[in-house]
Amino acid sequence: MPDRIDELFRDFVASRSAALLRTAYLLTGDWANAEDLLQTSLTKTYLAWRRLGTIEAVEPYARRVLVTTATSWWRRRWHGERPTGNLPEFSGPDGADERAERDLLWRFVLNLPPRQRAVLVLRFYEDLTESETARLLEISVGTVKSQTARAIATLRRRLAEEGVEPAIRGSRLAEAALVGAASGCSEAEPAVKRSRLETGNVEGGAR
Amino acid sequence: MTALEDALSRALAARANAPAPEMGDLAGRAIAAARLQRRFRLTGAAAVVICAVLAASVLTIREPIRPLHPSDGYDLATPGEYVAAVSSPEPPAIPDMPVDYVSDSQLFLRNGKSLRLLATQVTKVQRVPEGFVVVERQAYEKQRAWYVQERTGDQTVLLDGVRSVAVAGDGSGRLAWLDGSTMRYQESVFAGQDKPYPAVKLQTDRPAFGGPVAFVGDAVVLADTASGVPSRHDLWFPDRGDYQPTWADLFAVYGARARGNELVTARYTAKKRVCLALVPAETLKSSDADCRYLDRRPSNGWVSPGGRWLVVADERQAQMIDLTDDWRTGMVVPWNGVTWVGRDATWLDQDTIAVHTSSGLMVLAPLASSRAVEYKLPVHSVIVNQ
Repeated sequence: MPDRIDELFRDFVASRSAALLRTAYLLTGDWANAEDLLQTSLTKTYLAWRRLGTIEAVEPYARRVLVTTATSWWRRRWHGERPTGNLPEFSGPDGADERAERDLLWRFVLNLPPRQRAVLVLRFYEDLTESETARLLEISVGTVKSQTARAIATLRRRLAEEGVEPAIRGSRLAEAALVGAASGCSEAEPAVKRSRLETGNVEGGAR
Repeated sequence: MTALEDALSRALAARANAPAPEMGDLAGRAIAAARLQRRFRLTGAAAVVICAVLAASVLTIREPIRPLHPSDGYDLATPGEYVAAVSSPEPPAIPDMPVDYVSDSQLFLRNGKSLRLLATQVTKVQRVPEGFVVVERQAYEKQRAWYVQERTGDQTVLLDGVRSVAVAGDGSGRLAWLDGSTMRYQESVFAGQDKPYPAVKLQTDRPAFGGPVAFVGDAVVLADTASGVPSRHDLWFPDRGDYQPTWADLFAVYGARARGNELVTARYTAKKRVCLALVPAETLKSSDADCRYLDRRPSNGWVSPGGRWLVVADERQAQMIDLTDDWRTGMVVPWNGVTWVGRDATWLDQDTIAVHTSSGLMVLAPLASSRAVEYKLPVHSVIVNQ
């Protein structure tokens, strides 16, 4: 029996670990911690395999463990995750503007509280509905809505602090990020000043 | 979907599609780890039984549902007896200490490292991104708050000469405090900064009495301590604007349920009974019909991060209550020789709490094989909320 379980488990890992690893990376912001998180999740999944009963129940369980473990406040070594100045290179059809936009957003996402970050990942990366997200996180739909709203408001505010109007994608956002990056340690201020001069009207944020 | 949400969706997808590292035999490692855990559990259970029989040193209490009552519970071994077998060497060399703690201006970490703090009279320590927020007492009831970076040991003054500093227990680093006639709130960005960057600053008129003591969800918890101990509580929602006083006669707000809109509270009824109740954060009101009664006022209480457990403790015992199961009492641990229970406690996981008492650090877990374990701590120490 254990051999049979091992076999099924290995099949499951082979087919789903790549997707789970990507989610883990978005939750932790770091590949090393993502691997650790995924292994922890898979270990618990293996231990629970018999209890789960059907193979259909395995992935939701693994995903739930992944998310709840990532959002556990006591996992202290994950509290400080953030993007570094040396962002990984990856190719895509888009240009520098959009990469800068993504990098800026990613930096702000990583500074969100773990629960808010998890809600965003589930809603906007996993494309889960509010009720699916609520079920997975074992919280109410209302909490999902409020956490999402708070996270989005925070992102919008931080973008505004960078002198960027979130509703307008592209050049100004990219410019803000690039100007900030070029200025060295004080990244935000030059971008803010420049953008404010250009737009004359910067959103004040949610608060 | 708004433009920002659309941009966020694309940003996450792009980030997730970056080349991932090679994971090797992930399944094999997970299987091996799982088997090791199973073996450890079995071995641990056997060890607990042996220890209990031979040395009466491990505290194993399993009590049925019952109220907190002074006369209830087993008469346990004295702390000194069971500490000797399960605890660790004398501080600060405590290899198995499950928490970080501060003693004599030295911050001792579980990884074996320690940091010398500039703060001298530390009253509160909270782990935040890449470091700690440390609150110290100053003259004339004033307080100073520091940010201590774990990696470099750099220490930055966040607040100075203020009162009633509350630090969010979720590790976000949110702060609330009184500054003259003003009550202030601040969110900071800790990660990736030379020093914390205040991202959000809000202020309102301070309450006539009391001030911030904690956070529950998005709200700052205010306590009125005019009589020396908290007698009333209120909430300020910084993101909703100015503070509007709506004090409720709650002598304790222990935390919030997972849904965040219900607070776990304690108050006296008209007949002077101690009533535990869930109250809506919006109104802070409850009726006696909602009460779960205790025989005496707990010294302190804490709600688990997932909102399942309420732990209340006093000098005689600690009690774990399952909030998801109609307030069922999960475990009662009477203890001897405890003269005080500190406010500094920390949850080690969703179900395990470490409580600071005069006898040391008590680790309680209703789902563990050993029900309570005590670790020695230096007398004047403060547990880091992690």
